[in-house]
Amino acid sequence: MLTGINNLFGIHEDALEIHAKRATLIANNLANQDTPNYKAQDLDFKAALAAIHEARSTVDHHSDTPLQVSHDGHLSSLNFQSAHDVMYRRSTQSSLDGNTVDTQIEQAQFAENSMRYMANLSVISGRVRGLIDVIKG
Amino acid sequence: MSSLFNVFDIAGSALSAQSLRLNTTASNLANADSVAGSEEKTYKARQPVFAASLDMVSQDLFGDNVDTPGVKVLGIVESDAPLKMDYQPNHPKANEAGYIYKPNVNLMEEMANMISASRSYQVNVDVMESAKTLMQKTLNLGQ
Repeated sequence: MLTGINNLFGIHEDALEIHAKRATLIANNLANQDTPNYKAQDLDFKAALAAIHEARSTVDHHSDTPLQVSHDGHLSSLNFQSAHDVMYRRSTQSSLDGNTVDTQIEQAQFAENSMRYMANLSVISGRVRGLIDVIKG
Repeated sequence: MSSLFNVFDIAGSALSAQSLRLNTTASNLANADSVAGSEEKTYKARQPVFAASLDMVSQDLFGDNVDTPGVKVLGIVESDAPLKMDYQPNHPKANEAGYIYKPNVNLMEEMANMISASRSYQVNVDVMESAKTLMQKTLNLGQ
């Protein structure tokens, strides 16, 4: 059943990382809701997931600071740019001070993102529990 | 999960900025009626200047250096709106010409600022609360 322990969580592990990254972006939007000329940012989830997935499957072994491991398959480091996935949100209502943060939208997005994080977490949690059951017998 | 730690830094910076804004509002409202005998000595409305913070560099989950965002207060500026002059020769603070100077505090603006600051503060507290819950759930993985 288990082909490899490193692939135990599959895509959910990557999705979790992107959700965490997105949480910081939206938290930053909410922190800057009163900052003049601040532009709200968000992540293209699909593109980010595809990028991180690709990076995982074709790991660059010749990166600048590779981890020292005894075998090529151990702890391959992920080194790629994620900045290109971050984009500016289109503002729904213009404001005098040039700020494009809509608190309601950001709060809704943050709540949705948190729920998706929890959903991923419960899948991962289920797999951990399954594995523990298998080990304990 | 480690990038969730950044949420605390970000929301924390916002809490500090908004509480400073609330402080200046309180100061402005408290001094709204502090009259003086000269233009220099009169209290002038104070407002904080916010800017998106980009000077804290850290590493994100993707392994590259990023600016840990947040908000910072660049400084506090005094309003240059004209002061209100009143002709009250019997006032103890009146100058030789019989005028007193009143602060340029706009009560409506200050009340709006106060509400805006406290709402923003609440939103950021909620963000912190959510991040805390997410991290606790992550720490309790598999239980």
